[in-house]
Amino acid sequence: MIKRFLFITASLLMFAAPSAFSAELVVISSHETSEKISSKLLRKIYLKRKILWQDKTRIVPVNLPARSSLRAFFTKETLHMDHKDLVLYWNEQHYKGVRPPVVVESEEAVKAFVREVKGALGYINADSLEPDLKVLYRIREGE
Amino acid sequence: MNISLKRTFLFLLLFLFLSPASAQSEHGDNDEREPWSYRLGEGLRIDGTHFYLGGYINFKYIDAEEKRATLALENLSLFVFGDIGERSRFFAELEDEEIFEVDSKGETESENNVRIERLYADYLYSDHLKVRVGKFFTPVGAWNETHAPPLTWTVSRPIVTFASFPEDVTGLQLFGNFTLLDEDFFYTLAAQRMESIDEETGFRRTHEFAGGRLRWLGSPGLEIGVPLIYYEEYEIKDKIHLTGLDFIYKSSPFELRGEASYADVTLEQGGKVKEYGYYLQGVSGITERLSIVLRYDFFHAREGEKHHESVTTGLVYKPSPPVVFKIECQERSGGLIYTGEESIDDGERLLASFSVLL
Repeated sequence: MIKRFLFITASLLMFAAPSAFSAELVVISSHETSEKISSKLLRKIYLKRKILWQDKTRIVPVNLPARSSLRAFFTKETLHMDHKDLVLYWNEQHYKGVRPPVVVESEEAVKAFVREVKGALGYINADSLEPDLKVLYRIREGE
Repeated sequence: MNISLKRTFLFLLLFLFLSPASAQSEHGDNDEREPWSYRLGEGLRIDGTHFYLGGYINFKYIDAEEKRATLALENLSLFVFGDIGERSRFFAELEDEEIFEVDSKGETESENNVRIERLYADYLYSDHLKVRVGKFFTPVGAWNETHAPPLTWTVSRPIVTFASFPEDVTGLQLFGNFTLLDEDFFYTLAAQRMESIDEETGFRRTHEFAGGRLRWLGSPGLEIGVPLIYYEEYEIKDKIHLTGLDFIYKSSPFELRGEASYADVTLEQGGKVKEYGYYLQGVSGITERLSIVLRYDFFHAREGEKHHESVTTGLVYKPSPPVVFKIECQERSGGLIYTGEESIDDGERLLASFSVLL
């Protein structure tokens, strides 16, 4: 009886737990670079502390909307800042004349943006990857 | 600026503040596709260009012992910035200070103090080396480069963040990032040997300046900076060598920051004096929008060699990140210190402000 109770309780807890981000996220670009992309480098790019590729092309990072769970995952894994701190950061940057990354509505729009804009870089779910897009970095849940 | 123009401008600001675009905004985002898009705290995109308009407005209330309480439209700033091609960018800021004041007896005072606060162009050679030419904020401490009221936690400004060095430099600046032993650093080097663009800004003024600041960007939330500068004070001709230490540590909902400086002043008439001081400020979020602030300031002034101390306790309410209400109580001692825009005197005072980053 106790074993059955524990099994049912554990099963319920598993279903009740918030669903983890199961897919893999890939950072994509059409820009040819030999730079070693890391989580730390992505942080610099998305905070606009690094603005040029090695060949001096301007880096154009693109974000998904703030409501996107993929963006929340990317932000958590790379920026290590909560939303409030991030907003305060961009308010300060606005006073210094620095704009936050461009936002597009969907992963399809990220892919189109990366294909069209020189120096662009964005992130999508690995399941949405297409062969012509170059993967610079992969982020998996729990890594 | 006459009164009717001021009213018109205020109505425009109110309209922008209440407009649906600002209400629906996702702060910290940049939607490039919208023509003339506006977001509170992130400016107005000028359609068909790579330029943006921004600014801030600040109302300030002061009630000090043995003085009439005053309510003032203290600052109105407008800045424009943007890219000129792929590798260069431009920034200009005009600021009007102490525009309109009314005291507890109903007496009013109005002034026109429009100044060029900043005016510069950047050339982005690489991430390691960027070149700035024009008028820009002096790289000493963190407060001076982000001193706009909507970005600070208190109405009052610690003396050490402006009284020992010129707040701006007109000349050349080199800056950039570099990595050493897997640690990230940001450096700024600046030099001036000319008249300033608009001499009327700041308390200390100079035509001769050299120095910089090295900032260690530690783990997310921790930054430590060290400035080292030399300048000759304009007209007085005192020569000042200054160094210091500043830090910011953020771990939500807490923030701790401080700045210290030590200046060796060689007087024009001979002899040397010291000027030094520091502040330590802690902020704690009580709720998502309400924070409490506690700060201690100490300053030893070169003039009269007076020790100034103050303790500031305040509350900050941010209904939205760019909209800031502040109220604080300050207890000061050590005698009168003249600092240009405002003399620092003993006693208790209550300060409040309402500021919006546009």
